[in-house]
Amino acid sequence: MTTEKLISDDGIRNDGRKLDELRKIKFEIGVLKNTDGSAYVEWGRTKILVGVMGPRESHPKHLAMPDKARIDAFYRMASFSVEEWKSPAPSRRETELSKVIREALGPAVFTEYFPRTSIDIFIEVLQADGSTRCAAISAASLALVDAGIPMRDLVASIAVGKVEGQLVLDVQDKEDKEGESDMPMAYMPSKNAVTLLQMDGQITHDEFLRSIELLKKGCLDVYKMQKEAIEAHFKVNESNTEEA
Amino acid sequence: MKFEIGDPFSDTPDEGVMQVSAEFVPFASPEFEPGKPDETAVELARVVDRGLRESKILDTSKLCIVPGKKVWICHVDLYILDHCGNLIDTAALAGLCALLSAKMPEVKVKGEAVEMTGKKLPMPLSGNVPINVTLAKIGDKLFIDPSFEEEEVLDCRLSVAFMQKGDDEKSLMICAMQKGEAGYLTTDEAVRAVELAKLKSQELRSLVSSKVNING
Repeated sequence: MTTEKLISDDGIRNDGRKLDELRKIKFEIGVLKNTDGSAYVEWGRTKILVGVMGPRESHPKHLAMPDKARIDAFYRMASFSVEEWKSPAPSRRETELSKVIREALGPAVFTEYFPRTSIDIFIEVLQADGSTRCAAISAASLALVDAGIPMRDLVASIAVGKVEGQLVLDVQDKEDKEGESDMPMAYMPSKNAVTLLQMDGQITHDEFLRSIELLKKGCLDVYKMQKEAIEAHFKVNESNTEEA
Repeated sequence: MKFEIGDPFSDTPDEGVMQVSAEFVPFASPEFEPGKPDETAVELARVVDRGLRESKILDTSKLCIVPGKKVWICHVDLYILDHCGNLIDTAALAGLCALLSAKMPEVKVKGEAVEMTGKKLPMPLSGNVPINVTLAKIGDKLFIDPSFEEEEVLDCRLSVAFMQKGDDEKSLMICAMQKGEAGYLTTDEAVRAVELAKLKSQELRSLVSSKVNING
């Protein structure tokens, strides 16, 4: 454990951010050739690639649902994505995260438009520096958009942590490991819908209530960037068409 | 609970290890299939693990035998024998009570060798008792302690673990949360669910303290 402080006396975090400031986030849409939709995100030093396949025929067939599409998510960390080499075999953490990410994105998709099909969301964490599930969910929303899948809203996600007794928005790895708590949320702003909520660490009831407000603000910040990324992507495509 | 002597993790060389696992026995439900734990079992084990771990009820620094070499591995193995709903809260309570009532073997270190003395020692517990309470959302209502049938139709659930040190209500903190299943909650529903979980956790805490000593 280091004795180095993570927040300075004037409220600046060790990477230069204010308590409620996000890292630099860059979304890119349509980056993979062989998928139906894809997105790439750089979220500070966290780098994640998401590919969507589908709606396509369900495999195995008996898992297909007669009234809606089946959504599956596969969250995997590359063996080189963390400081120590990680076995590429899925860990229990990756199994759990795949489940909660699927459940975070599911409510946004009009699955009833694609009965008997599967929509598979593949997530590869290339470099991890905290909040990978939040970055993955936010990027996966854009990959679903890129795949042309109708959605109720985008799902934006971010985490609030408690570090040295103070609530901070958008937790990076060091703050997650050395801080007192980590609370990620995924959110569909137009429905006020919380589609993922987890917490580990120790917070008071009052800190929970303040965290929810901060999470809403953070998700709206991410939501704005997601919309900008969509606009930028389709604008580029338009100008390409004009040239051709 | 079972104890075994093993290697520490490289990032915590002087600490013992607590490992929670869940086995869904096939006769517990027609939905369960034999084989490796599936994602539901993994989630259950990890949610129970999170409540126990984050409450710091178990002082793992006291589970070190030879620093950097030999530590106690404490296995908390949850076996689901008959599934009638609300597995998370039930398994969390069972895991907690097992931890509170467990005795661990005493060892003596002689040079390189570790010998069992045959005696049993109390566990190094902090008295921070986590209680998990799950709320199921069905339509616009929140249900506490969902039954199997209620779980079949729920939109989603929110599990919240509240911990408290001994009898000191002022020390009440949230130490773990997990939303599960396909639907969503509004932020107001999430806030309400946490309030309900807080109330109910106190009731369950007095039930636990009437059965086992919770003061560590």
